[in-house]
Amino acid sequence: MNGAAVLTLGLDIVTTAAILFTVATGLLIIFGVMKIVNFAHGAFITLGAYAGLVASELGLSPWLGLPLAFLAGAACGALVERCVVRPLYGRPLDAILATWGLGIIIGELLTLVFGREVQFVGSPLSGTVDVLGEAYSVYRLFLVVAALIVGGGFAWLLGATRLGLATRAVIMNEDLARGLGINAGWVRFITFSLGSGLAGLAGALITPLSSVDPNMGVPWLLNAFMLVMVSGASLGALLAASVLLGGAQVVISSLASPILGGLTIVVLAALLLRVRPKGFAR
Amino acid sequence: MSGAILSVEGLSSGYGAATVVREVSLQVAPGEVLVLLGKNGMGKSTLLRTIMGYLRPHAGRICVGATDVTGEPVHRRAAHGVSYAPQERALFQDLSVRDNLRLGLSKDRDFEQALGRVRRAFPFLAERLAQPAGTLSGGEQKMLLVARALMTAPRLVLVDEVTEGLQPSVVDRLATVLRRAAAEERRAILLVEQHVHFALSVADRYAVLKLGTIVATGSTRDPDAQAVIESQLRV
Repeated sequence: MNGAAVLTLGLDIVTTAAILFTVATGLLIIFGVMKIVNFAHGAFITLGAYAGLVASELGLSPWLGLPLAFLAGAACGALVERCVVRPLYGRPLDAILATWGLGIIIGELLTLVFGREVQFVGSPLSGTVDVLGEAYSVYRLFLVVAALIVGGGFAWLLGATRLGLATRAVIMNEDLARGLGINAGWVRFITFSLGSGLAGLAGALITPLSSVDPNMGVPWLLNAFMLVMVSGASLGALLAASVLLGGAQVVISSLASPILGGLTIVVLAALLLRVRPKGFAR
Repeated sequence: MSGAILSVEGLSSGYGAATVVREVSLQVAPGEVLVLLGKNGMGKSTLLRTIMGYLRPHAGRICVGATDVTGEPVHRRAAHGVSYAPQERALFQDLSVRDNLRLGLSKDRDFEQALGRVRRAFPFLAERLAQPAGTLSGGEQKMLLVARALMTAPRLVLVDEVTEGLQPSVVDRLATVLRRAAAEERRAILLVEQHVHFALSVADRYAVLKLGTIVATGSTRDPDAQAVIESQLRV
């Protein structure tokens, strides 16, 4: 492998890790606070992608598609938390099944409205940029910036705000937090809405790289789920998992086969959990 | 007792169908410390957890001031001025001393003023705000727990077995702080204890709980208070 190929591989690893991190953050924060895996996460990703598509078909700026996708995901998440998830707080297994079913329903509703066909959304940033003499997609590099904004924003929210302190308290010991006057139900509502909004945003961010169809969220959900399983409730661990497992995916896809690459995260995460049940979490 | 901060009337509670606390009535006035004594398993902590709202009463009523809080969720009790220092898993071990104290308040803008009260009670805490709570010694953690409970300037403080396993100097410090919170700041304090000497040094009144029922009450200034309590605890 020559230097140019190594550079491209390195950039692919960084950008793939950024995409995976962005896609999984919403799932991680919901898992951290609520101790449930939101299996409707894939459907919210798809919803965000369609929000981006609608924005594009309405002739709006492709950049406007991003906040619209976030709002669509957050609004849908708020409704789902209030109507479906909240009555199931004491029954995490039922909550998982309910969100799984809900994901299927949202997918079918999207099919009813938009049809089954694959559709495409233009990229807000096209073309390439020169990186150490190699041409590389500007949009993929932008996704690294987007991941940094999402990760940094979340770290700020958790570490520097009153809501973040309350959220960390609920994550660590919900009973104790309630005794100190923290409305854990409100924290969960905000968390679920925010996590769903992030899923929507991630959906709109990834569409220029792929295509939009009613089932596009499923493979992303699987990878995000495995990454969260090896990261616990830690944003830092999720970053490490995204870089290492996402990196392995890129390497195997490039050097062996894209089909094997598609399985890499799931298989490696399962093996990691077998050896070290806490995964990348401390 | 008119003007009581805490009024509990005919309270029964427990876990599922099992009744642990039976028809307990008590009141705590502003500036007063009431200590609940009893052996392990007699229902002391269950009573505090019910007053705090973690357990739904089977019967009875809990009022804070003039407000009936019996059916209110746990987090609303803090808004009524109730503060709780539980016995176990009571601190956020990974959070700093500062963040643990912040969590005692509903708004960050009150922090500096509240920190003044902490500094007066436990000066060492104000010097170690950045330290993770989990790295404090056992006694220091108990002091942080009481400091956090007093952060909001609460009307009612519920304290569950704070002296367990502590060295005498720390016990004395806690007694002074709780006594001052009641006498000077007019807090109502309901203390659960097994340590009779500590209880008598801090409290104005005592109640002995046996099998979930109050079997003896009185003033800690009664000459025979210690004898009554010890005889009840022996049986």
